[in-house]
Amino acid sequence: MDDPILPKTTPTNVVDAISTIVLDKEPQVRLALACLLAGGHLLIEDLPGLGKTLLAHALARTLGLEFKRVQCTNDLLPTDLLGVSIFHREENGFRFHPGPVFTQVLLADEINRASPKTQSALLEVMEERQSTVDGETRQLPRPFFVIATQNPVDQLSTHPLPEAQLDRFLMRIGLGYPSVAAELDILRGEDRRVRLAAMTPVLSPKELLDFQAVTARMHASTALLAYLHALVLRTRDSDRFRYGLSSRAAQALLAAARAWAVLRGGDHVLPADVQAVFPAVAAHRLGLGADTAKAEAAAREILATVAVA
Amino acid sequence: MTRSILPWFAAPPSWSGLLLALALAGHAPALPTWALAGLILACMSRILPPAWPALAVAGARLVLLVILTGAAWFHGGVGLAIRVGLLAVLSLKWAESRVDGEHRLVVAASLLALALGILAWQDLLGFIWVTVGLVLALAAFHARVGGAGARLGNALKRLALAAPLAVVLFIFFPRIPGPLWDVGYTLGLPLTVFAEKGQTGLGMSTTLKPGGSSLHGPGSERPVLVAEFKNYVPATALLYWRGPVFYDYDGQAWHLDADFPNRARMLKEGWRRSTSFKDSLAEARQLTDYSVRLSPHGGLWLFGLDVPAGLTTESYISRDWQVMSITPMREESTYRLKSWLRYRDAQPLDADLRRRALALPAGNPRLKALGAELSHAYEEPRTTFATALALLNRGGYRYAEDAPFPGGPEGYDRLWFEHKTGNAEQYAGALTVLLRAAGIPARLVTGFRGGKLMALTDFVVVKRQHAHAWVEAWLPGQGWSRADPSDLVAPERFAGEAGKAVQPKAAPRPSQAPAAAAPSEQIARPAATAPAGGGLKLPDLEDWLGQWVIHLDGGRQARWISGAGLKGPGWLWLLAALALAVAGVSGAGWAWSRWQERRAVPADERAWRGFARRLREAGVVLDPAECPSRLAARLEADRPDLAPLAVPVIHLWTRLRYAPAGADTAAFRAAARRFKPNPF
Amino acid sequence: MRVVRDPSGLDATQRHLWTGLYPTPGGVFLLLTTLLLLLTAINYANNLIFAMAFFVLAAWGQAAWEAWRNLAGVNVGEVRTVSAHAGEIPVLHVRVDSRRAAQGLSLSWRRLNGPVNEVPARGQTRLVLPVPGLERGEHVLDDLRLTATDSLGLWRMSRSARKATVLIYPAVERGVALPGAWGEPAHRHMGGDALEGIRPYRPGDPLVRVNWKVAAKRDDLVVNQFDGGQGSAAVWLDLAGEVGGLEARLSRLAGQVLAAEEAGREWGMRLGEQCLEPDSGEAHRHACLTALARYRES
Repeated sequence: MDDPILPKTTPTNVVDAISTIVLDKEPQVRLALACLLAGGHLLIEDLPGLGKTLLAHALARTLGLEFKRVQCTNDLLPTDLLGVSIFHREENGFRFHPGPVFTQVLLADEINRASPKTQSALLEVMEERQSTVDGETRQLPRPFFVIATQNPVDQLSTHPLPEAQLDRFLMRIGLGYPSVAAELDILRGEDRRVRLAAMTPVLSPKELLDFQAVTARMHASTALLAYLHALVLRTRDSDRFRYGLSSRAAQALLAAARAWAVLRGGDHVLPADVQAVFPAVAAHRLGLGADTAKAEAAAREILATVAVA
Repeated sequence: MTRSILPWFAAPPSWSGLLLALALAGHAPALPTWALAGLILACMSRILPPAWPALAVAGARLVLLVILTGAAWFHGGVGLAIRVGLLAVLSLKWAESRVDGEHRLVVAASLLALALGILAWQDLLGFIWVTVGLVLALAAFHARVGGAGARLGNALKRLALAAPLAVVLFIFFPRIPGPLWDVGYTLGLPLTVFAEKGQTGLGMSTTLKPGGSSLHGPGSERPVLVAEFKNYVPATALLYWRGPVFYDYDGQAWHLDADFPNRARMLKEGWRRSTSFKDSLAEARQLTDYSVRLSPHGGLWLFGLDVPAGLTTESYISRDWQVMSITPMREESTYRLKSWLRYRDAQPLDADLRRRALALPAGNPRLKALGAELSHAYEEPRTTFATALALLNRGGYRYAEDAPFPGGPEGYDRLWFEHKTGNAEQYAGALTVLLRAAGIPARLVTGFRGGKLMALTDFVVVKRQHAHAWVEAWLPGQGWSRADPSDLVAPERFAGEAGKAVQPKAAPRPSQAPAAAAPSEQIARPAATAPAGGGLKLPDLEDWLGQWVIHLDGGRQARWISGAGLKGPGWLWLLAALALAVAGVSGAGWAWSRWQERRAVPADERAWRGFARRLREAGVVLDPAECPSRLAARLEADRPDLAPLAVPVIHLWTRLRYAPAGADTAAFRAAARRFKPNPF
Repeated sequence: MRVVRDPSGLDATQRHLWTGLYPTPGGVFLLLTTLLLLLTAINYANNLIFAMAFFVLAAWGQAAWEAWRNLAGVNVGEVRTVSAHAGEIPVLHVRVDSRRAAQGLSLSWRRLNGPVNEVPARGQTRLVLPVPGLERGEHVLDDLRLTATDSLGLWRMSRSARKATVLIYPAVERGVALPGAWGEPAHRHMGGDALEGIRPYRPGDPLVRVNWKVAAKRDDLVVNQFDGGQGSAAVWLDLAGEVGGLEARLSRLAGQVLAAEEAGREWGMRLGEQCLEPDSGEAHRHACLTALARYRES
């Protein structure tokens, strides 16, 4: 890595730092970080109590980012997220009270409990990276990274995200149960929330933005693009998926692969990078339903049938 | 197959039309002007307004067809009517063709019409016609979207690609000489059809009037006999099918014995058994075994080859060596004979026969004088004989099948000294007269010579056109010896098949005729007709065509096969060679395309594939869906033996493939090539 | 790019599929012509005609090889299920890719041939095949073929492509009225949960529904609005309730499905013993139309 603006700290340090809190989940941590570097948003779909919130929190802490959390419920209104203008008698005028989206890392817990209107307000903000309330447009801070969680089991009185909207998330990952060793470690160890509070940032926000810039410029050769395109085409040709990957999904895949290459410390994208992020990026866009594991298995099958160019 | 209206030259109609025009042009010289105009009119009916009722158009076309065919019938008979009729049908079909399939039909039929049209033109023009026709036909068959250029380009490309295979087929396809019904004769087609009594010509008739027979004209294609040879077929030039033998010339015509056919006398003078006949020969070699299927000619001759070695039932050998039937041949019959093709007679000549073989009627004084001069010049009859033949050989004589015989009491004189143009029978008569004048007993033998070898089979079909006449002279110590004036005058006439083998025997070498002792001016004058030896000629196209394309025939193929030292049925060898050559050409084509395909792969990728192949050979399971970087990791973990050599190659490859520009391709290729896990 | 599972370069599922090479009618014409030319050449012992016949014959044989080669390096992707209403023409499409350049490729089914296409070396293209004339129902086209011709159109090489399913929905009867709504809307039981939004309080609104959170920030009252409220009672479409022939009734139902979707209503459907619960959305419409397409009167 001979890029002049490249910071001395590598993102790998971040992964290591988070891994001290979120035990035995390095692949997921890496994917989450890659998602952040690629400038996308992350959807974590798994059972409660497996450390979704902890991961989001740890990510924010190690990167020194401002962190806010919203617990979604069915009466959460868009204004509760975006903020409202409230009349102040003393000023004899409206003053804007920013909602929780005005932060750098937003954890939207159990997003499927929010009403569709609220969901779409959040998705719009995620896409636009700005919020328009009362006719006034306000930029969100940079970087802006949304981690939404979804509980796939408890479906009663919920509004699962429409499949078409899942496209707004760069990746969907599941956390899964920790290994025996990790679980014992969790049981034995001190409360990780305490450790979390004691964490110091490994990367400055400036460095993070630099890394994002490096990611965007990461070299992807023609051969690599051809391979990536073949993967995308494969999803379109197959009858097993309701939707093939869109062009936007292809772009997302490339962005994620670039981020993975940065995490690996390379100066160009390899097919292995594409392969590493492909299940997380593609699985939720193929219309295979909410079962993350099954969808990712289908995505891996595609990987196995397309030759590396 | 598109039905859309394409620009004019990209459209099928114009190409099938051009081909049709070419075919019509090929027929044009043989057609009357009005027929040609009618055909052009038929083609023009294509531009009839589409608004016309279909029935009216069809009716008009039918009327045109009937008028053209009818007029051709009145003008030139059935042949012309068929030709004009078929061409008219083709033209009208083209005029009404609208969809691609119809045009393809027209193109196919036009190719046939073109072939029939150029039948008579065996030359450069025909070659051009065929070439242009092929290009047009393939352009018309174009099945892709594209303009005139694409069509022509593709047609030329197809022809070029087809060329090797076509050449191989052309060279090795066994040539069965036509017409096809000749093949039918060998398969047993009856020979009776044309054998009317009394219409016997040279080779069968009991009298021979010089100039009275023609080998051309109607009936010349009629088969006389079909012979099937056992074991081997001799060169056809060696086949002398013996018919009537003449001694008596009355100044007008040659006649058989006065009491012919006197069976009792002939049986007495001849041989009932072939073994007793063989005793009369000093030498008999080259036994040939053959069966003959003879057309019923009403005569007694069974046309055995010179000279008989085995007889069939109801037959005997006459005094003059013919194989004779006891009863006239009135029905087609098949019999088996044997003959010696090389022989030397050892029989004495009895006085009566000698008298008849030397008898000369009045007339032809100049030939008699020349004969007398020859007999004075040479003591030895053999030398006299050779000199006479040399005169014929080098006297500037020309052979013409239909040459008119001068006639009259000096007919042979004028042929010999003035006209110098004649046919086999005329020269044979003249030579007989000359030899007799020189004191050498001579007889005129008629029959057939050669025949059509059904290439690559063991059949020889002898037709009326093979009728022939030659001379036999009686020489002391040699008996009756054959001299064939045709070989002396026109050596090329029978040279097609082993002609060289015949010539030395019949024509004496010049050294045998001592020129120093030339008795007369005519004898001394060396003829300049001998083939000129020197002088390199630039091969021009027409020559080349003639040699390699137009005159490649069964004989030439047979010579290749015998030249290659192969025995057995020729067609089998040819088919084997054909199959081999086709396989070779196809294999070469396949290899060439493989090579092209390989060449289309960039060098780096080729190197990588070779590397991957060697890895596989070294026992590494490769997964095409695996990223090379993973492969490198796997090798390091699982195959430490290969890793030190292989992993750098893989890293170079991934850099080449995925890293920013500037990677070292040469280093990669070298490293990939160096990787040889199994040197042994 | 190619899908590789075995060294032959073909996808494992395609390896043993049946292939065939036949001359086209044009090819048969030309072969007959060649034979006639050969007979002519033999009969007249004419070498020019021999040459002509052999050139045509060689080009003919070479064309077979070309047709074979056009198809040999081609891989076929999956053919996606397509659907159309009766009277429309469904278009099948399949993506093919090839190691080498290939021309004259088309998709065909029975006597239908799709437009001819070509694929560049190591490139891909999409072949389409309109399939007109299919009746309502589910059609499995399992003798779908990928064919290639040579540039002279003398030979046709074909290979079984994967099978395709074509769903033909009933024709749509336009301008049909929706039957009266009755029964429960699909989401009535979830009505308490499915918040659709808020609206200003109107006298008579139950106090339970007042959104106090918002009311605390504002001066006026707002009430929560839930779906399954007025006007969204589900429409029931029933085959038995319609009159006319089966196809006409099915067409009417298809029209009603589209009309209901357009009107933003939830609908359920009864087809004999089959019953589709009320719902809305693309998936539901697809399910209803599929049921209509497959419906058989027992």
